[in-house]
Order: sequence, then structure tokens, then C-alpha cells
Amino acid sequence: MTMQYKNYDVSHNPGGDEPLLTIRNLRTSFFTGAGEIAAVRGVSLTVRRGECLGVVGESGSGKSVTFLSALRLLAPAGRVMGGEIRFQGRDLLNMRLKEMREVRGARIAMIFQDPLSSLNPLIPIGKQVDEMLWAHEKNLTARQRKDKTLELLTKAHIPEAERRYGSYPHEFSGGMRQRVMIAMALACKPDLLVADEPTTALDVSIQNQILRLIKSLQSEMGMGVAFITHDLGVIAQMCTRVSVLYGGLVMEDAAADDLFDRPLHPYTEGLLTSMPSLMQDRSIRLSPIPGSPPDMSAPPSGCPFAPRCAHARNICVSQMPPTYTYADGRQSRCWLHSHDAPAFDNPYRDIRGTAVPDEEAL
Amino acid sequence: MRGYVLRRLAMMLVTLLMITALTFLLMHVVPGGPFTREKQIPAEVLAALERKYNLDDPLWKQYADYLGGLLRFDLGPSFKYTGKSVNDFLTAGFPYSAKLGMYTLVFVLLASIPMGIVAALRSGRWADMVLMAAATLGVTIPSFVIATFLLYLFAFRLGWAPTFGVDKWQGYILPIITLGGYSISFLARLMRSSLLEVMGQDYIRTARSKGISEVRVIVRHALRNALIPVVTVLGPTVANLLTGSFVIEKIFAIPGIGNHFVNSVTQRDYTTIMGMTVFYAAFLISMVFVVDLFYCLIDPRIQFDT
Repeated sequence: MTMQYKNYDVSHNPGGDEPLLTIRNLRTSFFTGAGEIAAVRGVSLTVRRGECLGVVGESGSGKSVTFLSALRLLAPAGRVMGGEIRFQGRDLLNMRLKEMREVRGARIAMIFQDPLSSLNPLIPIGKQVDEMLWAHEKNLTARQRKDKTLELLTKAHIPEAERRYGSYPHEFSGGMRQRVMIAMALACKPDLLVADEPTTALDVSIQNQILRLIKSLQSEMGMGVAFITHDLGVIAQMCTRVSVLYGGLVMEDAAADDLFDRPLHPYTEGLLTSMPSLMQDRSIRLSPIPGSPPDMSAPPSGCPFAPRCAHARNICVSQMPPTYTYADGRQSRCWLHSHDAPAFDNPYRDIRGTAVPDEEAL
Repeated sequence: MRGYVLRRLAMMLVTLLMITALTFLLMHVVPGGPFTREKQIPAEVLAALERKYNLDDPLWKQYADYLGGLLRFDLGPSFKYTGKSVNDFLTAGFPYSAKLGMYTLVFVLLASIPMGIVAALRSGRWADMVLMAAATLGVTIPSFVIATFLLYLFAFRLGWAPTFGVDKWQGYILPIITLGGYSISFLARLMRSSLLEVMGQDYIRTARSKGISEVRVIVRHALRNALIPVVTVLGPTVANLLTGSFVIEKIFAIPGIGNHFVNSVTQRDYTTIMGMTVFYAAFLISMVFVVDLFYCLIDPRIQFDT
């Protein structure tokens, strides 16, 4: 059952088109005893002002590494091998470290997956939020910083902020810790919030609270959000646009509604059919994607998804597919969109050949 | 907090009791006694001597008597040096051992922690390699070899320091280096690995993501966390340094208590063996206790009454 492919214009995206963060052809590798691991192999994506971009993919697909590269927070073994990252027009990869520090926290803030390990166990949480203000708002006095910290904690729905100011991370529940992280990240009103699986370590009811908190603070402050997750349900709730990553590459890029309506990449489709749904007839079994992600120390030369793809042909294994861009801005990195792709067993036979392939050399 | 301290003190007494019982028993199991000589002493003289020191009593009574003395802080008379008590040895020797130990401790801390920090922050580069190679040498080379080498170079060849004695301050230099060598190497390695581990933690990434300087990341976010394992081994280290070393006190002719530790065993000087062991054990246990109290200052996650 193929749904009719709807045509959206780009202006459908709320929040306008002004790019906040533009990543072009980013390549990042880790150098370990076992050799080079190519974690990111040419990722291009854009986060626009006021929008929430969902970055989805399995673990090891390169989604976190992409944004850690942007903030230059990679572990010592990691190195950016190529590409360009621009934030509000400024080149993040080549700016001086001092300028980078003025961007970190103040313009781009980040929250992480595990709030317990991400907070310093020996410093009271109030002080940890306070430090963000200390670092970037030098004109505030200690008293003003404390007042503002209390205000931020309250805003992040931490009850009795005054009393909790001096508490340590281990004295909080997981959800409360993540609220502390959020208060800290939003202290300096950043233009971009990178949320790296912020709800993965939390249970479902808390997860929902945290998501709503992020969403309401986003619309209140008008910042862009890059939401990294492997959970398509979270994407559906939070995001206006989605980039699907696999094997260190962007497989598909689309408005969230369009993506759920009709995925234009077999991998995305696999993700959607392996997602459980309450509405779904229970007699229909979930179909997980067979196989496992590629070994990035020896990445395949062709499409990284080819070994697990039901539609794979010879060319998929031997040659890297280009990224096909449709008139409405949707992108998919799959040979099935080529004008000479066969109609037989091709889920995109109705639209194939209408998209423009890029001419990148990989 | 008070309940915890009292509980710990009670536990310490039990530990100490077990140590004395074990030492007492083992000491008497070893063949020979304090009055065993190469030349046989007449049986009547031996019996008289044993009666004088109550060695003819049953073992349990001897032990009970000893514990009784211990309660009055009386460690008994030396069996080898007539007219001297074990308390005399301690009051005469401990100040020397402790003074040398304190100086060494300060030196060890000032040297090892910065070494470990530098090695960790420069891990894999030449500074790290040089420091860790030196630390490996410090751990593996026995102190008497280091002492001999230092004496040859600085005392004999260069004449910068005296060969023995601590009546001038220069006399402390070589003993401090020799005594501290092992601890410096050990603590520097520990500090390095601990800091390296901490620097890879998520909260360090968080700290960096705040846009604060790397110096602040290290000083405010990494060091305190990295010091926790170092503080743990500091208890035994302090006890070891302050209670003297046989080898070093022998080589540099320092009249500390380290000498008595070894001599008393070879001479079967029962009371001195016991006294030295009890003293060292009590000191060690107290230091471990002090370290545990320090934990709560460093790490808020450690609670006492749980």
C-alpha cells in the first residue's frame, strides 16, 4: 500500500528559513588502537532559527559525534577530517578557542543523555547552574547570579528551588537532574540547544514531562533545537524536520509530517515499521530491521544500509548512492530515486527520476 | 556522625585486640626465646630469669598481664636492654622518625600530585613518558640502592650533603628523597590514572560545554574528583612514613624507631616486638580512620549514618 506522495513547499516549515547551524559534508574519525573509525562520513544538515530538527539514528550512526564536532567537544581520539560547520555565519571549526568558548554555553548549549553522569557529583547543583552565568554574564554580581539561578530552577519546574540550591546531584531523581541540566543549558538564553537523547535514561512518564518542558521553553525563547534521539515517537512529538542518519551519513531529510506520511528511504521505512504503536492491531507483528549496523572501522564502499535492505541491488553494494533532492527540499540518499532505477520492486517508482542527484565525490 | 565515630572507635579496639593476640601467639610459636644464647645458660639461671619476667606463667596469663599493662600505656621492660622499657625506645626514637616522616610527607605530596597532574594532562607525550619512566624506577629500585647512589653522588662526590646524621638541616635531604621515593612514584602514578579517568567523564564534557576555560575545568571540576583515590592511600602512606624505616635509619644513622622494629624480632625481645607492633597498628588504624573522616569533606555522596 503506497500512499500518495504529497507536495509541500519549503515555506511549510514554521520558524522561517534562516539557517542557524549549517553543517556541510562533515567527516569525523576516531583513531584507536584498532585503526581509524569513520564515525561521520559526510554529514550535511541545517538547523534553522526557531525550528526543532530531529536527528534520528541507531547508536553508532554518528548523530552525537556530528554535534560534538560542531562544539569541538570530541574525545581526544576524535578528529574532524573535513567539512564545514557554520553557526550564524561563523566558521566554528576554525575559530580561535577563546571565541569557541564564548559560543559554548552562551550561544549553543547542550544537554546530555545521562544527567547523573553529566553533572559534577561534588558540586551543588545551584553552583553548577551559577557557573554558566559566571562564565558568560560577567556584569552580574554573585547575588544577582544566585537570584537568576533560582529563577531558572523554578522555570525548569524544580520545586523549592531555594532549598534545593545547595543539594548535590545524587540527592535528585533522574527527571529532576535533567531539569537541572535544562536550567543550566538555558541560563544564557542560547540560540541553539543541542539535546543529545535527553530522555533516553528516564522512564516514560518523566520523559513526557521533560519533552513538554523543552518544547515550551523553546517556543518561549525562540531558540533552535537539535534533538538527537533514536526514538521516532519523540521525533513525532517534538520536531518539525528530521534528518535520518545511518552509517555516518544522512539517509533522509524531510519535514517531520512528510517523513511519517511517506518515508523516501528504505531505512526510514524500516525504522517506522519497527516502531510499536498503541493504535496498531496487536495481531500485526513488529518487523525489526534484520542484520546489524556496519562496522565503521571498515565502512562499506556502497550504501551502508545495502546489506540490510530488502530492495538492494548490485549497484547499492558497489557504489555509494548520491543524495537526491526533490523540488520541495526533501532529500534521500538511495539509488531507487535514480531516473534509471527499475520500476520492479521499487517503492518510489512513481516519483523516481524527478529528483536531482548531488555531485559529491565520496 | 557521633554514632559513627563511636562505632568506628569500638571497631578499632577490636581490630587492635586481634592484632595483639595474633602477634603474641605467633611470637611464642617461633622456637627460641629472649634468653636463648649460643652458649647454654645454666638451667637454674634460665628458670630464674623466666620467673623474673613472668615467662613461667601460662600463656593466657602472660597475655592478660600484657593487656593489663597496655591499658596503662605500659609496654613493659625490654628483655634485651636491661633497665630500658619499650616506652623509652618509643619516646626516644619516635620524634626522630616522625620528624623525618613529616618532612618526607610534605615533600611527597608537593612532588607526586603535580607530577601526576602533568603526566595526565600530557598523557602519551614526552613529559608523561619521562615522568612515568621515573616513577617506574622509583617503585622498582629498592631504597637502599637509591640511598647508596645518592650518598655516592651528593655526599661523597659533590659534598652537598652530609653522609649521616640529622643535626644540620642538610642532613634531612638525602633521607627524605630516599624515604619518599617509593611513595612519590606510587602516588604520582595513582594521581595520573585517576585524573585521566576523571577527564574522560561526562561531567567534564558538560563543564567544557559551558564555555569555561580548560584551567577552570581541571581545577574546579576534575581535581577534587581525581583526588579521592589518592586520599584513600594517604592513610597507610602517612603511617608508613612516620613510623620510620629500618633501612633508611640504618644507612643515614638516624636514631628513630625503625631500628627497633627489626632488631627486636631477631633478638626475640618479646615486649619490644609487641610494643612496636601495637604502636604501628594503632597508628595505621587511626590514620585510616582519619582518612575516612576526610572523605565526607571531599565527597558529599558519602554519608556516615547509613
